[in-house]
Amino acid sequence: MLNKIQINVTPKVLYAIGVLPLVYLFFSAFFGSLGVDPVKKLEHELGGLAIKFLIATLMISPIRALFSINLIKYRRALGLLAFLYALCHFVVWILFDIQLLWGELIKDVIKRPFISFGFLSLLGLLPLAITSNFISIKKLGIVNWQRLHVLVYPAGFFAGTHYVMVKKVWEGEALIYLIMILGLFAVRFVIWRKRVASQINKANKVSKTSL
Amino acid sequence: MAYRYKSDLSLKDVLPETIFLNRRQLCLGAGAFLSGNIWGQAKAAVSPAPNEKPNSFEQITNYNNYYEFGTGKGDPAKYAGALQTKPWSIKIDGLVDKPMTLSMPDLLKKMVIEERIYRFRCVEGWSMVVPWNGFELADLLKVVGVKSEAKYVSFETLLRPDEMWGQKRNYLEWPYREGLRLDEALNPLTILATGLYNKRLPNQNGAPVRLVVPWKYGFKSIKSIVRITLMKEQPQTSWSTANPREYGFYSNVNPNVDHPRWSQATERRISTSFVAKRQPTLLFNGYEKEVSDLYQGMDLAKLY
Repeated sequence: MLNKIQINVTPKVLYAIGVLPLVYLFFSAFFGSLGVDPVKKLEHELGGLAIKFLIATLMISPIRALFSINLIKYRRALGLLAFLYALCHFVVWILFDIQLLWGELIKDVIKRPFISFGFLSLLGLLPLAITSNFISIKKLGIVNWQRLHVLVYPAGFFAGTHYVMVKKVWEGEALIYLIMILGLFAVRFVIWRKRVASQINKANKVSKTSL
Repeated sequence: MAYRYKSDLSLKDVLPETIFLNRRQLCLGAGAFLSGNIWGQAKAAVSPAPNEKPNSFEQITNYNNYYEFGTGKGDPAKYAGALQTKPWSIKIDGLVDKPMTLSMPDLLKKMVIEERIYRFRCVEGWSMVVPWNGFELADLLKVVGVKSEAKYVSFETLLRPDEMWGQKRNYLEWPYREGLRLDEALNPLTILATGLYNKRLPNQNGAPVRLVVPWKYGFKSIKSIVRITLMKEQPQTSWSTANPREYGFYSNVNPNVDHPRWSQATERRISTSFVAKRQPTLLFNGYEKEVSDLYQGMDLAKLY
């Protein structure tokens, strides 16, 4: 099919563009232009960027399946950027918001579902970030590596619910992100079922012809 | 009876004299709403602790929860300009001797405006110090005369979706409603505010008149009030209708009773500094001496 649409930009460019908001936020924080509550502003901006990059990461496969546009070489960069922003979001929360009050921090993570979900999402992304290199793929073997990276589903789900629950009321933007994440999961599920079905078909044909 | 509460904080203690004079001149220039004598009661007060410095006018007017204008903290400053506050009147009805509708000028003629610098603690875990101008709610209730059967006071915000676009969204039940027990409403700390920093109350802060109950979480301090009703039964309030498990009728500031979403043990005083330290939240927001009698024998964990 239309597998011709080729985008010949090296993924390195994506890293360079992807960290620009981080640099911008860092300078804004430094020069005091983040508004009345800079801590919350920084925390929320970083979290928002994390979920946007995560959604972009999850879109790569469905885009290939539905529109035959292959962007797979950018997926690692997008995933790593999502992790980078999630980590920064977490670090800002610990350092400037909860301010290393470990007692409150541990209680928050355990007792408050929206914080637990955010934490679980970050935990889910961590091994993916660590193993997003060729050495790890080689060491784990492609099958195990793929199995491990299924973790992106729970991580995405927890990130989406975290965002929805942070809000005190049902809010459009947060709900749209969660719906997008669930929608992308659904598309992947359909693709996966088709693939399995065709494999079974193939297997059946093979076994029939061999009879 | 005005001036029943003497704040331990005064603007004179925190603003340099020059700014102080400038603000006064500004105030006199724009003083359509405020009587001139707000400065009259300056006291030789105790110097406030550094963390009790009032937040700046800019901070107080650009960081608001006012869901009628959107859920972002900056939304009210952006959109509240659309609200038409002139003419404005408050209807006072229910279990009162003389039900009446008061226009803003009439109301201000009857009341003595004074300055009250209060801590303001949001249920979300942040706080400010705000120099309000206003009058005691008790003074207004005296004018209308409260009937002896009345046990509660209910408040209602203006409903005007064309000017308050958030009211077209269904995240809360509109109009916004709040309520107090009568003895809470009569407490000297409870005021109706009409200004801050000796300027007319900006729209995003609840112009032209709002409630301020400094020992309760901020959402109790309902903005842009058009109706006050004295009732026998506990009134319905917006946030506890939306989510009764998270927001109770009383909602007294209490570091020992956690909100399901937030520990209430500490708070962040709104500050431009990244290293401003969290501070412990005080029982009744530091007004324990003034209000704890109201809750004698009540289980504050159950009646949160």
